[in-house]
This record gives sequence, C-alpha cells and structure tokens, in this order.
Amino acid sequence: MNTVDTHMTQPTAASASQRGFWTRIVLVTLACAVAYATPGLLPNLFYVHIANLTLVSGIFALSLWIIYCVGQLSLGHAAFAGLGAYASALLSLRLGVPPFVSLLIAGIGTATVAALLGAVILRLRGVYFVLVTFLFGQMFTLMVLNWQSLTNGANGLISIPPITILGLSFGPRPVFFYFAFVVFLLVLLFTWALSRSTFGRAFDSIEQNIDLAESCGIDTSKYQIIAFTIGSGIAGVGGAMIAHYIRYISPDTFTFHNSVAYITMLVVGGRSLFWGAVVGAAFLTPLPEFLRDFAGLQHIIYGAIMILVLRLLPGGLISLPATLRRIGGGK
Amino acid sequence: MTTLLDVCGVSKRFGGLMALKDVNLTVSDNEIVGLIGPNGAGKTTCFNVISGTFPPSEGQITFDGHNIVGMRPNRIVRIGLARTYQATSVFPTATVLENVVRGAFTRSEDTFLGSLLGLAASRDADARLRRHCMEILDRVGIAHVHDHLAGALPYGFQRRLGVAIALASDPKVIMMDEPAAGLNPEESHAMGQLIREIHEAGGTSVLIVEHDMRLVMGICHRLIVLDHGEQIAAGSPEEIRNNRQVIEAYLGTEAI
Repeated sequence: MNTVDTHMTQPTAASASQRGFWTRIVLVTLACAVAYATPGLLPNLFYVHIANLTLVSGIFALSLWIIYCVGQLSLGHAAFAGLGAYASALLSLRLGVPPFVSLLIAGIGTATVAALLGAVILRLRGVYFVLVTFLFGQMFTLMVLNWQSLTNGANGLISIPPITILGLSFGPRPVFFYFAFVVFLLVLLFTWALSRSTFGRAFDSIEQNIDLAESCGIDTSKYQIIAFTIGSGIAGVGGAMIAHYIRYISPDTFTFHNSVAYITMLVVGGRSLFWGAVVGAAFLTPLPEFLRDFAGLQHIIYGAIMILVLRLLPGGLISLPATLRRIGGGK
Repeated sequence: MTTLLDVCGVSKRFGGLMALKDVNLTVSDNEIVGLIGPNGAGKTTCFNVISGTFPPSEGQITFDGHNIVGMRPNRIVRIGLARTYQATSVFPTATVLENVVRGAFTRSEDTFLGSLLGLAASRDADARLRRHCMEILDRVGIAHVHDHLAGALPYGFQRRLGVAIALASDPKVIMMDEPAAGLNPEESHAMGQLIREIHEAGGTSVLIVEHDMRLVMGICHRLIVLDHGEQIAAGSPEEIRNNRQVIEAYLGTEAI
C-alpha cells in the first residue's frame, strides 16, 4: 500500500520541483531588477554605502550559517574575513595582482587556512570550539598589529586599489553595489543549493545527532571540515571585497566585535533556514544608522530591539509569519 | 557458516576500572547472538569498542576480513557493521523517511555535484533511494508515518525507526543495544518478531544486548554472558538457562 503511495506521489513531486524551478527563476529575475534600479532610487550615496555594507554583511552571515549547519559556532569568523582582506590587499598592493584575481586567491587561501585549522580544532565541540575560535580571532588581531613589516601594524594598509574588471572600476559606491549584489546572489544561491545537496544532508545530520550521523556511515569530521572550509573561504572573499571597497583596512576592521555581530545576525534573523542569515544582516546592518538621530541613546535602543526580537521571536525574524498566524488563529 | 565478526581477547580499561576483561565473541553469518548480563557488566562498552566509538585497550577485532581496531565508526558502518543505540537515537527535526534516507547515506548513488546543481540524474537517484527507504519503513511497520517528524513519533515507533536507520546502511551484521528497552510486553514481543523477520528476510546477522529474557531466549541462537566485564558463560539459550554461575550472577534463582 505504501509503495503504491510513493509511486503516486512521484509525478506530483516532479511537477512541483518544476514549479519550484520557475518560481526561483522569477525570484532571481525580480531580485536582479530591483537591484538594478536600487542605486538610482536611493536618495544619496550614504544610503548606497549602507546597502553595500548590508550585502557584504549578508555574505558574512550566510557563510557563518554554513558553519553553523554542522552544529559549530565560530567566534573567529571576522578573523577569516580579515585574513582574506589582508591577503587580497597585500597581493594587489605589493605584487600588483589585479584585485579581482587577488580576491579569488584570498578566498582560496583563507579556505586553506580554515581547512588546516579545522582539521585540528573541529574535534572540539560546543563551548570548547567557541573558545578556540575566539582565541584564533584574538591571535589574528595581535599578529596583524605586530607584524609591522608586512601589515603596517596599527596604521593599516591604505590606497588599496578598487576591483576592476575589463576596464570597469567597481570603486564608486553605486558601481560597487552591482559587484556586491552579484557576489551576494551567487553566495545565496550556492548556500541554498549546498543545503539541498548530499553535503547539506550530511551537515544537517551532524547538527541534529552527530553520533547517529557517524553510525549512518557519514564521515562527520570530514564534513565538518568541509563546512568550516567553505564558510571561512566565503568569509575571506567577503573580507577582500571590503578591503577593495573601503580601500583601507586596519586591525580594527575585523575584530571580535564583528564576529559577534555576524552571530547576532544569524540569531536575530533565524538559524533554521539559510535566508534567516540574510534577513538578520538586512535588519541589523542599517539599524544603527537609522538610530543616529537618537545620539547617545542609539546603543540602548539597539540593545532593546535585540532583546525584544529574541524574547518575542526565539526562532528569529523569519519565524514572524508563523508567530503572527498562531496569534491570529488564537491558539 | 563463516565468521563475520571476531572479537578476540578484548579488554578495555577506563583509568583503574577494568570495564572489559578478555572478551571473546564471534558472530557468523545468518546468526542471532545475544549478549546478556547485569547492569554495568560492560555490554554497552563492548558495543562501543566494536563499533569504533573508542578503541580497545587490548585485543583484536576483525570484521569480514578487515581489522577494525582503530577504524573510525563511519568506516566500520560502511564495511557492513551497523548499530542501534540504547536510548532512542533519531534525527528529531527530520521526517521519518528522511531519517532512513540518511541511514542509507553511503548507499546513495547521488553525487555531490549532481545534487548541488539539481541534475535529473541526481533527482532520479534520490527518488530511487527514497523508494528503497520506504520499503525499509514498510518492513519495520512504520511506513504510514513516513512524513511525520521523527522527534514527534511515539516511543515505540522511534525504536523501530532506529532499527530502520541501521538497516538502511545494508549491513551484514547489525548490533542492537537493548531494542526492547522501555517497551511494554506486547511491543517487546513485536520487536522480537521484527528482529527475526529482519534476520530471515535478508540473512542479516544480529548481535543483540537485551534484558528482556523472554525476547532473548526466544530469538537468539547463541548467548554470551558478561559479568563485571568478564565472560562467565557462552552457549545455547538452553545451556545458559541452566548454568549455575549465570543464575547466580544474573538470572536469579527463579525459574524462567
């Protein structure tokens, strides 16, 4: 009886996946259309700047989500972003590598560092992993501060060249917006596809029950290293984007506070689905800017909003529709 | 009958505690072997050592011609030695069917790139896998709840799901750690039935730890009795039932 059941659901499943495919195409096209018009519609360059930062924050939050998918919380995510930023900046400044190429090399380099580090530290779980990644972040900051000859220490690196592709400079804010949007969209689609792939299945198994995952024949250490490598590598690319956009980086650009901010985006947005990270980034990145009118109070209001969101929506902002439905249904 | 699992002279020390002392056991193909003994006798430790959760302090373990001492648990599963857990162990926020699909992870013909790009071949492989897993759910009798979340299942169903997950890896030997723990007599009887069916249908060998003597005596071909980490007896259910040492250590003097 049950086998008959599955046979009968087969065609519907296929047509549903086809519908899903077209829905996604429409969504992506719509997003592109909105993005195309966005820089022109924003009242001034400051808003474009905020939009740019939001897109890059989205990349950071998504990449952290990939690591979160194997049940690990990295407090050193900003260090990987910083590693990518310094790698790409130094490659383009000292060796004259075109920024677009250095961006890719920075991503691969950061991923390599993450793979090596992950192989050692991913056997730790829970709070121990959190502490080690925190220490890695602190070590990174100290190293950048003290390795004067390479990193220029606390003064940072200045006049980093902007990203240029085929003669088109992505230095100006409205132009960089398009670059950031394309990278963001690619990361978003990749994360989505990853979460539905065989890797995603392994990641989620590890997150839910690591011992059982191992008993299912899933090589849990391998997949944790893969998730950590992919997530950190993407963070490296994001960091490099910041370097070539702001065109100045210092040890203060990527600190422990940034790592906490990415985690906050994940929690406030919602951790259960990949786009929760995006919602969190879109909500929290512009928020401090809009609170500027309340000078002196802005940090308090920021904190209060966070507490409210976490108190009322423990599942994050993405659980808002479900919560509203529940309240509306009177259950 | 060929020997599949061969545990030879295995000891396990935790600091000063001798959890297992010179344990010898074998499981051949087409066989149901019971591992019994009082609480704390080292039965679960024995399972953990065999399944690779931690290495033995001494001794040899071979499975199907492979030396599995020091092998990671996921490798051991892939060569055909699966296990279930004493406590219910499922992926709580995945559907029942998805749980079994994960159990069959290493048997999947799906590829990473194919699934990443959503290729038709990958979708077909996934559909085949799902059909196969539905059959397994059918065998353990919980196909009707395949779309429920595993965490929301009644306890008895979760135990069956645990067995289905282990079966999905297509094992030659399946180790079950107290499959009937917490089940009422009827459910326990049904679980015994299920284990026998699994054994008869696929020729899968079973190594079972269980306290329910009615179940163990009913389905096992051979029994091994542990007490304080030491093997105190081995033999057919009939021999064990009448073994004075076993009666004193575990079964009690009441007639069973």
